[in-house]
Amino acid sequence: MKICEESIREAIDTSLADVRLTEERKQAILAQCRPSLEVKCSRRTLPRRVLALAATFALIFCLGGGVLAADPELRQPLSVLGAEALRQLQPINQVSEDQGIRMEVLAAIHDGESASVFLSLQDTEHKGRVGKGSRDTTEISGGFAFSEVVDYDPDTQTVLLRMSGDAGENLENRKITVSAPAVLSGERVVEQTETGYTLGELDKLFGKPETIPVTDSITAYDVTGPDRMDETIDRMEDGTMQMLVPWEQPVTFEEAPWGTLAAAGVVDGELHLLVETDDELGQVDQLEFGLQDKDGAPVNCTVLAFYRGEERQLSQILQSNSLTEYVILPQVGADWENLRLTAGGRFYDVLTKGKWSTTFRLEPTSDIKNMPCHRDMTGWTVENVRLSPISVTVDGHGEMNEDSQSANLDVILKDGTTLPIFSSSVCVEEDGKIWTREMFDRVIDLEQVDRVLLNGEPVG
Amino acid sequence: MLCTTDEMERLVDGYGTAMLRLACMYLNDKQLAEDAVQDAFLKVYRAWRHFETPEAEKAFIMRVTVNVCKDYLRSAWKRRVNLVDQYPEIAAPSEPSGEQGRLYQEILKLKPKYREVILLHYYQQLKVNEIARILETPQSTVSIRLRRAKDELRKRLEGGSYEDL
Repeated sequence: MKICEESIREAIDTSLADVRLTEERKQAILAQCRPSLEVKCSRRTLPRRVLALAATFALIFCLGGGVLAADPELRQPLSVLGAEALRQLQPINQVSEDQGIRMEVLAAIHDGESASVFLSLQDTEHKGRVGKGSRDTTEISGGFAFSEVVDYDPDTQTVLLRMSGDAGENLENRKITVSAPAVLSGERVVEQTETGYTLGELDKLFGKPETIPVTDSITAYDVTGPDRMDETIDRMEDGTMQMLVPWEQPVTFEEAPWGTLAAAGVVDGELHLLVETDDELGQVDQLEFGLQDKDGAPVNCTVLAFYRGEERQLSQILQSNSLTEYVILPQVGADWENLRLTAGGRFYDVLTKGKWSTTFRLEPTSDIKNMPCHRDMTGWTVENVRLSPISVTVDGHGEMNEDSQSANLDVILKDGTTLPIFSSSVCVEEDGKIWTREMFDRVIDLEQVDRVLLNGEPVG
Repeated sequence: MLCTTDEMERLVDGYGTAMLRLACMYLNDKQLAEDAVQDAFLKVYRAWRHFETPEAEKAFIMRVTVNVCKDYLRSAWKRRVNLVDQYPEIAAPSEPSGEQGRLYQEILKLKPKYREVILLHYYQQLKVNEIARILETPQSTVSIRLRRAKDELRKRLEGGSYEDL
């Protein structure tokens, strides 16, 4: 067969003959590109990280609301935020209840590009499914809008959450939907802890396992640790990486009933561990492995995790597989008798599945301060710094290169403290626009701000 | 300058399916590809300007699509790569003819850097200098990749031993 433009095009066109832009998607695109019309789009967004409580912001049209100070009933649960923050927020009071857990969106604020939503979760059946855990903080986290626990009332078993989202689009005149398919509690972050085995001992214990090539049934993989990353990716792509055949009888873990060890062994100088998880907490608990030396110091290694077995989807962004194979690749030439396997991760005590969803309209705050400036960042230029009660954004244009500076912002308050940052994001757009946004860990009154520093230099 | 409604409709009708197929072969996931195309059109809409030639317009749109796809691939918390076994999902339900089907499968097996130059040059009919600009790669690199990819496809289809590209 001749390899030419015509044959390649025909091969792709024929093979993808059924792949066409649907009329529905076309209308969604056209509606999105006409800001005056209603947007209906069904989108799946890549998560920035795996999160416990999935919440989505879907954008439609809006009308306005009031400000929180006018509503004394709302001030009670949000009093922990302080009077200054309360004045900035718009009351929402939308409730959704399922499985005996009540979600109420209390108040929100948006600045045209990002939003913060305050909501409470209460276990009305007092089953300890909300806010209970070994720690007071971060017992529930959520969605691709990052969230954190602001307050917890053990008497009413009610937790107050703040969810902050960077929509990446103009939020003017839009409706927001907050929804969730599950509530988690009892979050625990376990640091890497020694398992009690060296790699040499595990090699003797498990021996050479039965394996097959990886190209079958793998849905995705992650690689961390730079040392052998390129080599590992090459082997995954060219099919020379091996994967384990599950044992007939897996090994159970008393401490982790949601998972079992389905196979283990050393292949080509790498330790393979195949873990099978259940479809409850197994869908959200995150296990990680590492290495340390005999003195307990972490040792650099590459860890590959590839996902096999049944695919599960708890929500749009919470997806998992029933089988995960971890491959620990020590540095070449390392002494296996002195390398100890460690394990840790993020785990939860309770998972409650259900359906919680509220939709509300949100008017943008007018409390925005723009500070035009012209700052050369090598390759790109900062043109404006925009301050709102919930975020600070650098807008610029150009082309970032390896010598370019990144924009580090500090918001200094009048009391001399620096405003803590909750999350940050950077975006480089096709037309040369570049923006960096940092969201605060609280809602502020701009009158509290003394100055804004960009890479240590005052702006505006 | 914003694109008019009529112009957007022309762009969506003219490029939508081609962008979707390009995104499918990048992302190996049809639903993700649809989202990527929607994002790409929004970027096109916001950055719109008049082009001197249809070729320049096409190159701009393909560049936006490629960059959105690459952003999607980079945007995972850790690097996540969907592997070849998802390709059957996006293949046509009807079986393509033997040689065409084989060629398609071999194209999919190429590494991304070879696959993308094949797609942009042979499928999207873009010139080497346009591809170089889209991929931010020297023209010589694009030419070399095209030659190697084409040679490799030829060898694989002729059944000889081949280099793992």
